[in-house]
Amino acid sequence: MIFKPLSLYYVFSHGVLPRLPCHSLRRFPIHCAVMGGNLDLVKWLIEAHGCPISVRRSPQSGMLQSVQTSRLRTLMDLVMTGRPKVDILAYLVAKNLDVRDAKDPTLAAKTLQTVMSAGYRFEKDERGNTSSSSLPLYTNCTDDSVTTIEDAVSWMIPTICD
Amino acid sequence: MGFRNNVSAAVAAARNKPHRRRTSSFDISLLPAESIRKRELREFSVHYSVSTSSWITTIAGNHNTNSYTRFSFPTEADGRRFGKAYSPPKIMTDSPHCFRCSVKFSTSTKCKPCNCNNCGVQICDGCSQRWGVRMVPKTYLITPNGANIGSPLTVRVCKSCDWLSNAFCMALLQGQHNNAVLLHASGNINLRCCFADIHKEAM
Repeated sequence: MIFKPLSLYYVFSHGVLPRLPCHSLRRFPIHCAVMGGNLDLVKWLIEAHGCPISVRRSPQSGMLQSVQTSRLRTLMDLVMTGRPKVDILAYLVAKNLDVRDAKDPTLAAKTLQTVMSAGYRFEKDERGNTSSSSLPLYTNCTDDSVTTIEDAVSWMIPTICD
Repeated sequence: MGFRNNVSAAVAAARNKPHRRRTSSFDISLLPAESIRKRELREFSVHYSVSTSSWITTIAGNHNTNSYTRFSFPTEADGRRFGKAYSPPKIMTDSPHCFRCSVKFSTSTKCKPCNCNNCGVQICDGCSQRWGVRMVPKTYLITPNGANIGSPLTVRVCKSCDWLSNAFCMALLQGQHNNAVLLHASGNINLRCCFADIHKEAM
């Protein structure tokens, strides 16, 4: 008998079977905030509430290693895929996270290539945040159809792989 | 009750919005404000230890027991945040009704009261939900003899806490700062624990 995921969820949530404790994807609030792409939320979690972004240091470089989701994706993986989030990337680097601390080792280089080729200039607006208006590549990437959390979807990478 | 007023204002604003882009079962307008009880944390203390030159946070054990656990931190702010995040809630014990549906508890097996492990209210079986054990702080689970409560893989929580957790996760994923702050003000959100997968609805 084949169960569809929805009917299985119904069965679990209504107590016929216990809801499975180990879900396919587990993540911390900070991961969700980074996926959501709102810098204010990320700052709020880290600075106002002290959410940990790192639990250990890399033995080689001494840099902080990010907290991971259950699929071993780090904050750097999340911030460099999906919708462009250069402001959060800059903030996390300022918090001493290592851009090389990602599941895909070429991700940092690809991101640098994309950001630089888009004409990114290190301008700051009056609030001290990098202004998104200086990123011409990203202006057409803000429509609502862009999903941010699908693992396979990457917006930055195809533009430089073609 | 500042939280109630903020919530009712936000709910009214969300309902009056003419074009809601997408309705979801975790929309802020569906917030069950009347069935959320802000959890009261048990007391914790933070003091400076001269001998180890660190800050010691002492938090109480769960289920209104008299056991205490100590943790040390380099700064006072760290210790206070830890105490706030990990101090277990007070557990309600003598309520005659279910907190959510007001059904009267009885001694028969059908309507036995149980406690929400996240906020401490007494609820009936139908108003409860199972969470993975990692979704609440570890210190919420400690009993006097060190054993976990019930099944070691899941804990029982009320459906209000479940809704809040999912709605907060959605607000983060959609980058809604105001909604996230509002939901966090309910007091029952754990910022240092995992979220469950909410089954593709976050898309």
